[in-house]
Amino acid sequence: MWRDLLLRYRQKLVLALVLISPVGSMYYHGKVRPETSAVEKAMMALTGPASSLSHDGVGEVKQLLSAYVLLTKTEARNRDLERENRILLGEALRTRTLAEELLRVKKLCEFRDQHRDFTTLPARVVGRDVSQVFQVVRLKIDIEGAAVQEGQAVITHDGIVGRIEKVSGPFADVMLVTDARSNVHATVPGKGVVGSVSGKGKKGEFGAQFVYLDNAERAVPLIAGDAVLTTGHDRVFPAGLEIGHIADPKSTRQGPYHEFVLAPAVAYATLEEVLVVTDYRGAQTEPDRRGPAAKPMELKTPDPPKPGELAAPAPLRKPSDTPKPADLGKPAPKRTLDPANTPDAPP
Amino acid sequence: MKHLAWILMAYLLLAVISPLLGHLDAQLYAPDVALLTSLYVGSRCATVPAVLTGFAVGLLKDGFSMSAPVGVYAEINVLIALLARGLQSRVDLISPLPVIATSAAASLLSSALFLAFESVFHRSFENYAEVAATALPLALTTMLVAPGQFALMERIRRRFDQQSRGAELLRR
Repeated sequence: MWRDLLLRYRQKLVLALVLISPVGSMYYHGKVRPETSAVEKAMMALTGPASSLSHDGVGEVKQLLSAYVLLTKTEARNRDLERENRILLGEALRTRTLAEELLRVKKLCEFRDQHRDFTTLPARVVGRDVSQVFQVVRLKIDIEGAAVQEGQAVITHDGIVGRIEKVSGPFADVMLVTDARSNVHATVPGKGVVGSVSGKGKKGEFGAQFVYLDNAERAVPLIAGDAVLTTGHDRVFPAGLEIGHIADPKSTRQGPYHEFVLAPAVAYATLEEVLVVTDYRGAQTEPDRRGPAAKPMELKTPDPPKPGELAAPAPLRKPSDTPKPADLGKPAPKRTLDPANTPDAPP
Repeated sequence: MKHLAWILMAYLLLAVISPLLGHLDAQLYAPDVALLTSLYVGSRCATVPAVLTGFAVGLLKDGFSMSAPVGVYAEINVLIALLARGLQSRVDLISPLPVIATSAAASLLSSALFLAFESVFHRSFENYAEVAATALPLALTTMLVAPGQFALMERIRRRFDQQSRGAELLRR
């Protein structure tokens, strides 16, 4: 009988079941309950593995597509890396430039500390002469009120650079020693020669005319690499600074003079920081060239350098304050020759 | 057997769609494959198999949906299957355009039923505005997917019908 009833009302029973059971489930599960019901657990057990598998599968497929087919992220990442690479290259270049500048300034500071018989002012090279004839560079002196005048010597820790030709405000034009108009009194220490070094108007070449003071010519000939130093007799350049070295030991003789070709000690093409010798005691300053604005150099601390600008050394520092690393900035012995030991030193 | 195949197909689609749209950041545009399954079986089958299939598919959707009370989608899908059963003789649910229009209407009806059941049975439900706002996008995506899913389910039905006919011929 039950079977007949079930078969007879099967459709209605099924409909009642599928319509009423969800309502009961909604009523039960719609309440706020702290625990998970058995139905919910069963549903989660039924759908959880499929969700997990499909989630992982879709993730893998997406990764595969992105990495090997679409390459969208690779391209974007390449762009990011290229941009980052450009930035880093720029920063590395700036850092290298700053490190080189720091090294040069440090050498200049040490040079100043070692030569306390004359006062120097730091200056930056801001321009170079564009003509082929004259060898002139333009300096900017960052210290206000500095007593920079025409005729003063410009040097670096490597050697002499030239002398100031014109001054206007913080700017000064320097005639390099390679200029054809330049003339510097010079000597080769230990070789018994004295003479003058004249520029030839070429960037990397000098002419030096020497007179042998004694018969040492045969005993101690000049050889390539012999350093040529200033004597200080021209009252412009302090004594003992390197001008250059003998490039070719063969000389051309003109009367009592032996003319040699020299190579400069300073690389003028890459010159950035220099020192202006302001009160060399041997220097002779013409009274009429000292204007009313000319005054002794004031020892004042320069303003801190702006970013990207030359870090100028302090005008004067005590030797004890100066750091002296053992392996950096130490001048070569031949460049710190005591002028008193030169054969032509004044008594 | 074909009903089991349809349920299995709906199960797989429900399992794949959720993470797929999650990866694509398009959860709001998930087509209601359970609804389309119920609509199809309601328009092709007898009442009892249609409502049972709709019930099963609705329960599966209840399992995949993690917030609604269990039974909401089962009830909705049973009602949709019954509706499609009623439309079987009136609307041609074979051509794409009627399928699209009916799917959109069924989706909107489903959202309305969902809101009604949630407001009645779900004590802590408050997202009425969100459900109302997503009803139209859901209907649009569902109607776009409907012809494809109907074609897939039709293919499954033909495959099983051919097998059953072949088996019957062999028996004869």
